[in-house]
Amino acid sequence: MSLRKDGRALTPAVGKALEVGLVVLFVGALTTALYGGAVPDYRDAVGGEVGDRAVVAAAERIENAVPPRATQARSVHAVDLPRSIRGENYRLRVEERTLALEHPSPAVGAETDLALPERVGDVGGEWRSSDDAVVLVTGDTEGLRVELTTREELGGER
Amino acid sequence: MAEADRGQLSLTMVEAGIGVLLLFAATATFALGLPAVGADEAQLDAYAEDAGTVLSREPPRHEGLTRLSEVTRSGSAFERERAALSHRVERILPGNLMYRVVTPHGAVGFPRPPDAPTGRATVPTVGGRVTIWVWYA
Amino acid sequence: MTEGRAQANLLSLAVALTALVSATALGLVVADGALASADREPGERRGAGALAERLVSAEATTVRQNVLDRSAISELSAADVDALAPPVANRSVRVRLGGKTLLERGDPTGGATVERVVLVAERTTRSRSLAVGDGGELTLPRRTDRVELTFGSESGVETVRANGRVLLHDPGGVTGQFVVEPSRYETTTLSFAGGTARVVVESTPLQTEKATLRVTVDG
Repeated sequence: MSLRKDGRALTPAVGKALEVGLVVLFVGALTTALYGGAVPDYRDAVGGEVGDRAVVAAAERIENAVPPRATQARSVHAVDLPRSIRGENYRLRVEERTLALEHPSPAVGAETDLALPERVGDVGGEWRSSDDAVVLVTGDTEGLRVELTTREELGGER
Repeated sequence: MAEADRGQLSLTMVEAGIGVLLLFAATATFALGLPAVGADEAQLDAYAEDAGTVLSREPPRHEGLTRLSEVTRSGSAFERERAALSHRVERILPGNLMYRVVTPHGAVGFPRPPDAPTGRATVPTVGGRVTIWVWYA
Repeated sequence: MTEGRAQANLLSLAVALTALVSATALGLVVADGALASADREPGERRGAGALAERLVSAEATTVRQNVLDRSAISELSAADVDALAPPVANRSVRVRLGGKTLLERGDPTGGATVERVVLVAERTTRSRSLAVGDGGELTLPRRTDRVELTFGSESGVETVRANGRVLLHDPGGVTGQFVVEPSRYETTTLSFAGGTARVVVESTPLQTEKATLRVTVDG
C-alpha cells in the first residue's frame, strides 16, 4: 500500500517533467524545421514580389516625370522607394533605357524597359534604397536628359 | 480515481486547443487576402487626366481662350456655362463613370462618394485651378 | 492506476502535439495559397499603361496630346508598338479603338487592360475655286487646321489680310501657292485688296470624334 502511494507521488512529477521536456523538444524541432526551410522560401517569394512592384513603380514614376510636349525643362520629381527589401538595401540602376533592381539575394531582382519619348536622349544614374531619390529632367531643344539622382546631390533643391 | 484521470486529460487538451486556436488566428491574418491594389485608382486617374486634357484644348463656346478658361473667368460666366460644361464632360467620359468638376467659382457634377476609389486630375487655367474627380458609378 | 494516469498524460500530450503539427501544416498550406494569389504580374499592367500613354502622347501617332491621327493609328504595326513602348516586347498585345481592333499579337485575354479617352482626328480635304475682288472677304470654317490658297497667274490681288493682319503682300499681284494656318480658337476671315483674282481654296478641316482606346497586354 505505502509503496503504491510513493509511486503515485513520484510519477506525476516525472510525468510533468517528461511533458515539459517533450514540449520543449517539439517547439525546438518545429522552429528549426520552419526557419530552415519554409520561412526563407517565403521571405524570398515575398521579396521577389516587392522587388517586382518597386521596379514597376519606379519606372512609372520616371516615365511620368518627362513633360509631354515641352522642350526646355528642368524638373525634379521625388520618388518613393521602399527602405529595404527582404531586410537588405538594394540599388536601382538604369542602363541603356533599362531599369534594373540589384539586390544581394538572388531571389530578388527585376528589371524593366523604360518607355520614353524619342526626345529623351540620355538616361542614366542610380539610386540606393537609403537615398532621398529624385528624377531630374533637364533639356533643351536638342533633347531631354533624364537622370536618377538624390536630393543631396542637387543641393537640397525642391 | 476516475475523476482525477479525466481532469488531467482535459487540461492538456485545453492547452493544445489554445495552441491550435492561436495558430488558426495567425493563419487567418494572411488567409483573408490582401486588399486590391490601386489598379482601379490608376485607371480612374487616367480618365480624369484625359478629360482634363480634352477640355483644356477645346475652343470656347463664346469668349475666352479655351472652354475651361471661359468657365473660370468669372462667377457669372460659370453660371452661364455650367450646364454646357456638364454635358460636355458627360459626353467625353465613358458611360459608367460619374464625375465632379470643381472650379474656383463652383462645382458641377455629382457629390463625391466617401468610400469608393476616385481618380483626380487638376488643370491650371488663367482663372484658377480646375479639379476633375471621376469614379465608377 | 498511477501508471495509467502517467500514460494518459503522455498520450494526451502526443495527441496535443499532433494537433499542433497539423494546425501548423494547415497554416503553411494557406500561406502558400495566399502567396500564389498575391502574384499580380505587375509587368502586364505596366506594359499596358506604358503603351497606352505612349500612343496618346507620341508625335508619330497623334495630332496633339490625346488626339490620335486616324491615318497613323490605322497603320499601327507590332514593330511600331515595340518601338513606342519597350515593356510590351515579347508579350501578347491587343489595341482596340472604339469597337475596332487595330492590332493584335498573340492572345492577350486574361491580361491587364488600360483604357484612355481620346479624340480621333481625320483630315478631310475640301477644295473650291472662287473669284475674289477688291474688298472681298472669305471666312474660313473654324476648325480648320490648314488652308492652302492657290492664286491664278493673272491675279490682281495685292494684299491678303487675315483678321486684319497682313498675310501676303505683293504689289505685282499675289500669285502661286500659300499655306495659311488659322488659329484654332478664333474664326479667321481673309480679306483681299487690290484687284480681282481666281483663287482655289483647299482647306483641311480636322474632324474629331470621341473614342476609347483600350490596350490589353498579357504575358
